Amino acid sequence: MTQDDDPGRLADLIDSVADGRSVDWDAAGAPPTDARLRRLFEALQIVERISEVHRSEIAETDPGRVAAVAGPGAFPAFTDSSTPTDWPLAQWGHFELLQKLGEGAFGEVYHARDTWLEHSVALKLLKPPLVDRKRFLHEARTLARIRHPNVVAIHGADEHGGRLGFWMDFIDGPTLAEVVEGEGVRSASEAVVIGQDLCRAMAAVHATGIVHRDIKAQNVIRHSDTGRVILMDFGAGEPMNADLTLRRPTGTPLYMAPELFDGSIATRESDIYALGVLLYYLVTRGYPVHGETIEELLRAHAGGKRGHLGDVRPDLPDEFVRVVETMIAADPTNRFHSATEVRKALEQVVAPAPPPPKPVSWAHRAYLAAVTITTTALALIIIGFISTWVFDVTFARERGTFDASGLVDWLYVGRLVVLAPVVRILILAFPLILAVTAGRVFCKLVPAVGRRASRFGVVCQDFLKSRDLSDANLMLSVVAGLGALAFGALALYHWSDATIFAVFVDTASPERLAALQPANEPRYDLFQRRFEYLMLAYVVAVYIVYSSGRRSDSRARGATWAYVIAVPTVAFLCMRAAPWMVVYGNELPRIDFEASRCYALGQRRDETLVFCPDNTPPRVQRHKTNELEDRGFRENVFTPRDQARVFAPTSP
Amino acid sequence: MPEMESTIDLLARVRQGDSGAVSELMERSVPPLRRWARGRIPASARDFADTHDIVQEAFFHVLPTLTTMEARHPGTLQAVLRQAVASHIDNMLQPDPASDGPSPLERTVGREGLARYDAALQRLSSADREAIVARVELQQSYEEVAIALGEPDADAARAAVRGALARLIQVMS
Repeated sequence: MTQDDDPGRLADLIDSVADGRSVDWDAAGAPPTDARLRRLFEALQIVERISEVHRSEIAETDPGRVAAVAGPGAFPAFTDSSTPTDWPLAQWGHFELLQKLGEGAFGEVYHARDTWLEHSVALKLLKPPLVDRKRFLHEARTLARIRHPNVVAIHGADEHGGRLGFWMDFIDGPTLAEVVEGEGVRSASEAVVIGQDLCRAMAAVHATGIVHRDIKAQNVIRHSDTGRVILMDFGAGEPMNADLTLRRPTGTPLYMAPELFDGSIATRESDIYALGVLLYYLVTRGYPVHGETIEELLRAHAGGKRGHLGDVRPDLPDEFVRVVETMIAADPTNRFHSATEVRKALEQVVAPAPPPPKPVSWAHRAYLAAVTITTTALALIIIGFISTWVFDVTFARERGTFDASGLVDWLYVGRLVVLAPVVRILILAFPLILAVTAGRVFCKLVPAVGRRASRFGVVCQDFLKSRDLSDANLMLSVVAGLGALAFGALALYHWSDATIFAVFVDTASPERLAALQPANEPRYDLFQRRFEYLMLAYVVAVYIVYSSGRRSDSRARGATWAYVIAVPTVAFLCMRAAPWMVVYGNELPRIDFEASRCYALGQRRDETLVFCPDNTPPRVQRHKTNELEDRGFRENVFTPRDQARVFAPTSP
Repeated sequence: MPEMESTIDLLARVRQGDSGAVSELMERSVPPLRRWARGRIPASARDFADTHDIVQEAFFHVLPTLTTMEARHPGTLQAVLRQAVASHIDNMLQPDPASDGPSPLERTVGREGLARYDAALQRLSSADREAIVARVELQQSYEEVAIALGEPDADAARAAVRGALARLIQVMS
């Protein structure tokens, strides 16, 4: 080789390196004498070796690929003769290491003995070759901020022999994963108890502003003696307000909420998802979303492929299935939003049997009965009074003089006002109650239908939650508002009937009086039936919203309830109670005055107040009683003259 | 170049929050990254930090930035992911890398040789850098290099790699 050949030689060598062929540098000839070319040769040699290392690494993991890319035998085998260093330990500071309990990527956990205090601890030591001191100390500091019976307690941290470590309570017992593997799947009631304890632990963790990010069966220990479950391993825990750009997605893929795969940050809801998966695992020994690899998991999440708990364990209580399915909802907005919310939902699953009713004394029963009767009577008296008062105003009857009605009369009127619509509403509600009861019985008899109904309920709840419509205050206010509109619309539609109590018969026009004639009663009755249908619909709507709110633990405020109750009360008083006496209590004694057809509205000493409908205003007059002719029967005061029982031909 | 377009389309879908696109992108990007990462991790550390985990964590670390990333060709994505894996490895290892022992690359070309190579690589144009990384580090075939670089065919990719290599050693020397 001559110096003149050096550029050509370099070009050939570049080709060889580019093509991935091994270069025998000894056979390639002597280094060029030209310093610049020699440096180029040296640089290419470095690149070629780098390429060779990468080829050998690929050969270890994917030999087929190397053959495909560079051809067989294109490179010498690379042998890694190094062995991992081992650090046998028997002592760390004043701790005697007794047994290795577990090992993770960054740390080892030992059962150790504190030789000063002479008791057992769990000692976590950071592995020497990978010193992620920041992460390790972060876990210790995170744990130090939480004090809760269901969270493992840390007692100190130190560094000995170049190894960082911290020590915690030694919990003697299996992890939940070991429990399930060793003893089989758990019952719903046991899972509920475990879930409630973990909710308390999670609430304590979240209260310190931390998300755990690695809740799983392997990280929960069940104390052998007490059965208490304890949440541990906060290596992945992170403050909720941490710099978003520094947040790392960690956790165990099978327990990871789908949004974490999309790069979203960990939240309370993602911890709740992991706890939901843990409960799912406890009762099934499986996971809602399966995948052998992370890619398979991603595909399963993307395709919405997940096992419904009710299908895997049809024997589980519907409510438990509903709670777990809500916890593992794909959309985080459809999950519970706090650990406390989950705990309360779990409480409803296996609600303890109601305590046996306390023996109630006769005196107490009498007191309750008296309170009930008094309240009812008071309500009826008020309703009767309103109805009577409106009658007095309508007929210009002076209260205290010609109207001598008292509590008993009002109570009587109140009973008449309330009884008929209540009975009719109950009759209307009966088929509804019957249908709901039959549906519930059918769901119990045919579990598949029950599960579908339960799932439909979950879907509805999710829909409401996704649109922020699960707030009982909001929804009850909406129902009350719509109710007010509906009652208002009914009043407008039946305006002449709805304002019947506003007729002043003393001076009203004959046309207005004609509206009160008995012939118009069917129309008024129709108005009353519609009012009753509306009232029933309102009550049902309020009940549905109230029940839905109870399920999602959303309670309405007192002011909301006041609004909800005020709407039908006002409607009832205006549309039913106020006009009742005018419309249905208008049969009065027929007493004629001279040639006029009149009706007695009331009597005082020797005077009688009469209403003479055929007269020109004023139609309400006072006359000496002895000047009046008592016909001896009662009649609707709005009966047309030609239909009156005794015709009065001389009336004007 | 349908493949190139589809990778860019995938990025667009990732930006729109399509989790299926994330899955596909991961399937496409992680295997070559794993191969690449093995050469950069000291042997003593491999037992403790599985290459698979490191690459996976790095991928997730970069995910949020993908929603804002504008890639003109697929190589850009690979470069971003490689950078993330490299940073992740650096963060994971001790501040004094010597205590971990040399990585296979350092053992072969020396710490100084590897630094010269890395420094020169950074001084090249992005197209040259991608060509070198794809062929030398990721050991991709010329067809794959053509797709990554947006070259029309394998021959054009080979020419691009040769030119890039020539310029690399110029800078290194």
